[in-house]
Amino acid sequence: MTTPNHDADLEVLFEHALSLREDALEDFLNAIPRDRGNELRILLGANAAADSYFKDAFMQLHPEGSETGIPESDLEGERIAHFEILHELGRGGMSRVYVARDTRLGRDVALKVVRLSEVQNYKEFIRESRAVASLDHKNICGIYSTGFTDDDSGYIEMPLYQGSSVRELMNAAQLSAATVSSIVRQCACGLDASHSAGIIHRDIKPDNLFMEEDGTLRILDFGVARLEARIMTTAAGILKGTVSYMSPERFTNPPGGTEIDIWALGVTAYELTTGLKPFQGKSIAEVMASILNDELSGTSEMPQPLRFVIENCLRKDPKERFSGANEIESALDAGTNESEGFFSRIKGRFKS
Amino acid sequence: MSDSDEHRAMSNETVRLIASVREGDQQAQSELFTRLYDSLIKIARAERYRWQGNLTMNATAVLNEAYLKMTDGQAPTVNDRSHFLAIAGKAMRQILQDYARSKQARKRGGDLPMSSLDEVEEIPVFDSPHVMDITLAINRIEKEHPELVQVVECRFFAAMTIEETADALNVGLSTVKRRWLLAQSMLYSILSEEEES
Repeated sequence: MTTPNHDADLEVLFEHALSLREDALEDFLNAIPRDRGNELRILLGANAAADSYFKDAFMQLHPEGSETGIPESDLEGERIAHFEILHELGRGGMSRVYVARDTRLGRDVALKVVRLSEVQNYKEFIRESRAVASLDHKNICGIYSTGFTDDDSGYIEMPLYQGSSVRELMNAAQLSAATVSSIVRQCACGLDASHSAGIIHRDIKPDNLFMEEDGTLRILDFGVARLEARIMTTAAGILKGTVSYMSPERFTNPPGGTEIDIWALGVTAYELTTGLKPFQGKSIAEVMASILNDELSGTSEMPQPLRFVIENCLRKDPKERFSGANEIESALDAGTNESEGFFSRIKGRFKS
Repeated sequence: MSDSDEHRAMSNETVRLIASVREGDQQAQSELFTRLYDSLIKIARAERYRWQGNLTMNATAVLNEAYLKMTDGQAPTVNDRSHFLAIAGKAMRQILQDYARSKQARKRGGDLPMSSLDEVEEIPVFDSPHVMDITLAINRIEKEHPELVQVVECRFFAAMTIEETADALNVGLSTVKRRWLLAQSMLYSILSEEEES
């Protein structure tokens, strides 16, 4: 029987039912008219799965740049917890980064606001934040604190570094071999630490590497990159984002282990050295095909030890790649200290 | 009229329509809807050639482009944008629904005339099963729960925030949150019912 209050009733009852614990819920459902109770039971049963179903569908319809859940327009001038938002620094698929003033401590920080529309994302957000917070390394951008906003978003407070992203450096000028080596070496150093702690970055690329004015490299977006990658993977298994840095096994045998970061660092090093990506194509399908099938080319002109490092990061078979980021550091260190002879000596260990 | 004059006239007209929609003018609403329906298809088709390897159409990008094109930046208030997007969400839903139906009909061997919708066929999102299932399931709750459907049009099809949706529908934030939650569960329960039968 439809009453004028039909919808309003159902909305309010449903919201109330969602807030109840198991035994209280059962009492409540038994106390209201049976038809309504049964209707609510069905809706409550659908609620959990509906969340992720809609999330998947939403991501298919609005693969990026959509603002649902994140406060629209600018947060500039607004407050999140005890932070005053000063201006936007950049944005990603489901997040924005702002320069914010910590009003308690009176310092400026970088505040990343991440859209989290699902309960399960909250849990993952917390888990990922904890994992990253456990990393304390000079080449990894750390976390000061995390929290939630009033409207289904999470925030991560991070140090505000002075400098430029490696992408910006690369676009501004051709980088010297020494600079590229320094970037790759520091990134490998950070990856070595995170891999030892069991944390894979999953989105190493020039945009996620930041060089401070004193030359210290910081890997950005640990945890968030992982979270984003997982959430952006739709039910159809389509991974959003740039595939250019993805290793072959991510297409054939996902999700892949620490080797995927080694590969991505190889692609980054190649790009920093030549200005080009090693595997290219006009569409995602073509790029994937190239990553899977094409022989690596264009390294013969590269200076050592970069050539050696890049070739051994970009082996199609993950087992043939450097087995750890520490090997990249060793190769670069040895290359700076010794002559070419070193490479012919240790080259036997790797398939050439 | 030159191109830019024509463009200016169109955006003036859109801004006028949005203002009338805001005041509850039904006819303005249906006129804006018709314009958006055509405009969104046109933009989605053009987008197809500009994907650069993205596997799915970005509906948000299409909506934003429609907004910029049709208003020429003349409707600066957040409130105007919300009203525009709410109708755009309705148009987006209609486009997807018409497409799903014509596709089903063709599958059954129906002899339908080619329409402008056939040209969007190559856009993968139009074959995304979840999006299509949701689009079709909505019809089954529209008669009894029009308020829920409005929220789905805003939140799902137009990717509007809770604030924007509240603004466009002239209801409170908590009402939008409640309806969005209920609508999702209701649609999902319909879909899982269908799956079982």
